[in-house]
Amino acid sequence: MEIADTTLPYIVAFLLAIVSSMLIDNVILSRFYGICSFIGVGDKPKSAFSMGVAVSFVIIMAALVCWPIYTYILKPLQIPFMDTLTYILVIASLVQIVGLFIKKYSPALYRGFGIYLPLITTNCAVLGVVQGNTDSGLSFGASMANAIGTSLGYLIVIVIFSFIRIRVSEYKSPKAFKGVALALIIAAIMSMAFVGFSGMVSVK
Amino acid sequence: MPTWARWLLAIGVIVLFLIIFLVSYILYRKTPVPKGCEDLEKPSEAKCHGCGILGCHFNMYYNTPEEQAKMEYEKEKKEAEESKKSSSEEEKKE
Amino acid sequence: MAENVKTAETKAPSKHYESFVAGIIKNNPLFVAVLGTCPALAVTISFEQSFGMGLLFTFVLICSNVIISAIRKLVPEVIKTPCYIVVIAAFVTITKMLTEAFLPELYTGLGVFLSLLVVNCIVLGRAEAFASKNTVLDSLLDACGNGIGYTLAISLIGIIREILGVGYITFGSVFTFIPLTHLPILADPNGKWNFAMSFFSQPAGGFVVMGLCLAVIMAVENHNNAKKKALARIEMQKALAAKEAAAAKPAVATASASTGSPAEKKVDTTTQQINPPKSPAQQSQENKETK
Repeated sequence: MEIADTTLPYIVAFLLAIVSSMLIDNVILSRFYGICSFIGVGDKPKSAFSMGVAVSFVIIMAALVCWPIYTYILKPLQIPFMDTLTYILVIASLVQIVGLFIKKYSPALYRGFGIYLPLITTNCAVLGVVQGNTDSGLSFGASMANAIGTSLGYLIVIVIFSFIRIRVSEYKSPKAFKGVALALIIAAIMSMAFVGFSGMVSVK
Repeated sequence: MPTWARWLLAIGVIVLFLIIFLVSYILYRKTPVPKGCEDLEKPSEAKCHGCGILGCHFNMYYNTPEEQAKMEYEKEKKEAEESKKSSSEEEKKE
Repeated sequence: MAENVKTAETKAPSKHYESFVAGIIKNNPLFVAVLGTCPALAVTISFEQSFGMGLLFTFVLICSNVIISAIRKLVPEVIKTPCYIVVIAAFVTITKMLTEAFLPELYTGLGVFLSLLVVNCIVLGRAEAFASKNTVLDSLLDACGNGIGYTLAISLIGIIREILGVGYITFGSVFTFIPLTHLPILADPNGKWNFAMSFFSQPAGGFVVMGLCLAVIMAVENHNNAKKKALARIEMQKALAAKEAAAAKPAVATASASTGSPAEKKVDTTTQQINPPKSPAQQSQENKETK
C-alpha cells in the first residue's frame, strides 16, 4: 500500500489510507492480528472499550517511535535483521514507561485501562502492525495511516463484538459451542459482513 | 565508518534498548498502585477472561476435572451460606 | 508401605512420559487451551504452509525452552519475564534468517507471522509456566509434545481449509525438494469440474473451520469431564456427610436423623451446621434427577 504517487492531495490520501486499513483490510477480521485478546473479550462493552482504547494507544505510540528507529538507527548501522528484537524491546519499554506515568499521576486513567497495559505487550496486533510497516517498506505517512486505521478498526470491531455477545448470551446455545467456538462463529459472520466493504477505496 | 566501529555501535544500541527496558520494567513493578485502585489488582472475571498466562493458578485450563468440581462445590457452598445469611437477616428485620 | 514404594517407583519414569504426551492431545495448546490462534487462522490457507509454520514453531519452542530451563537458576526473580522475551526474540530472529535462506517460499508465504512467534502466547506461556521450574530434560520433552500437538492441530485446520476451499492438496510448493504434485479430492484430475467452495480460503472460512473443530473437541471433552465431575462430587459429599456425622454425634440428637435422609428439602434451623452442605447436595440431587 503506497500513497506516494497519487494525484490526490496528501491529506485526502492519508484519510483514504486510514479508511482502507480500518474497514477493508480489517485488522482482526481480515488480517488476523489481535485474535487472542479479541476472543476473550466477553460481554461487557465497557471493558471492551477500555481494552480497545488501550490497544489503540499502544499501537499509535509504537508506530510513532519504531519507524524512525528502523530508518535512522538500524538501517544506517546495517543491522536490519535485528528489527524483531528491537521492536519488542521498544514496545515493552514504552508500555512500562507509560504505565509508570499513569500509575503515579492519574488514578482515573489507571482505573480506566491501566490493568490492560502489561497484557498488550504480548498482543499480536502491536508487533504485527509495526513489523508489517517496515517489512512492506512504507513511508512514514503510510505507516502512521496504517497504525491509526488499525487501531480504529480494532476498537470498532471489539465494541461491536461485545454488543453481539450480550445478545447471544441471552439465548440458549449448544453446550459444545459455549465459549470460544461461538465467538469464532460470530467472528465469521462479522468477517463476511465486512467483506462488503472491499473495493470501496482503491489506493494503489 | 570502519567495520569494528559499526559493530560496536550496533551492539551498544541494542544493549541500550535492553537497559532501558529492564530499568522501566523494574520501576513499573516497584511503584505502588494508586490509592483507590487496590481492588483492581486481584484476579477477577473481567481481567482474566482473555488472559493466556498458563502459570497463573486462576487459569482454569490446567485444572483437572476433580479440581474444577471442588472449586465449583466451594463456590456453591459460599453462595448457599450468603443466601442463608441474607434470608436470616430478613427474618430478623421482620 | 509396599503400596507407597510401588507408586513411587512407577511415578519416576512416567513423569517424563507424561509431560511429553500431555502436550499432544490432553493439553493441546491450540484446541484445549485456546492459545496461539493468530497464526492458526492466518497461515492455514494451504496445508504445506501450516505444516511449515508448525515445524518452525516447534523449533523455536524447543530451543527457547531448553535455554530458559538451563539458565533458570541464574536469572534474578525481578527480571524474569524480560529475560525470557529476549531469549525468545533471539531464537525467532535466528529462525527467520534460516527460513529466508533455506525455505524462501515459506518465508514469503508466512510474512509477518514468523516474527509474531515472539509474542506467541504458547511460547511465552510454556516458558513461564514450565521451563522456569523444571529440569532441562522435562522442558525439552514438554516442548516437543506441545510442538507436535500444535503442528497436528494447525495441519488439521490447513488440510480441511485446503480441501474444501481449493479442491486439491498441493505438495511441493513450499518444500521444493518434493516434486510439485496436486492431489485432487474435490476436483476433477483433468480440470473439468471443481466442487470446492472458495469461501473456505477466505478469512471467514478460517473462523468457521476453527470454530467447528473447537466445538467438536469441546463436545468430546464435556462428555469425558461430566462423568469425572459427577464422581468427584459424590465422593466429596460422602466424605463431608461422614465428617458431619462424626462431629455431630455428641451434639443434638436430631442431627443423626437429618443426615440419614439427605433428600428432604426442609430447612432445619436447629442444626445450623448441617445446612450449608445440604443445599449443594440438593442441587446435585436435582442435577442427577434431571440427567
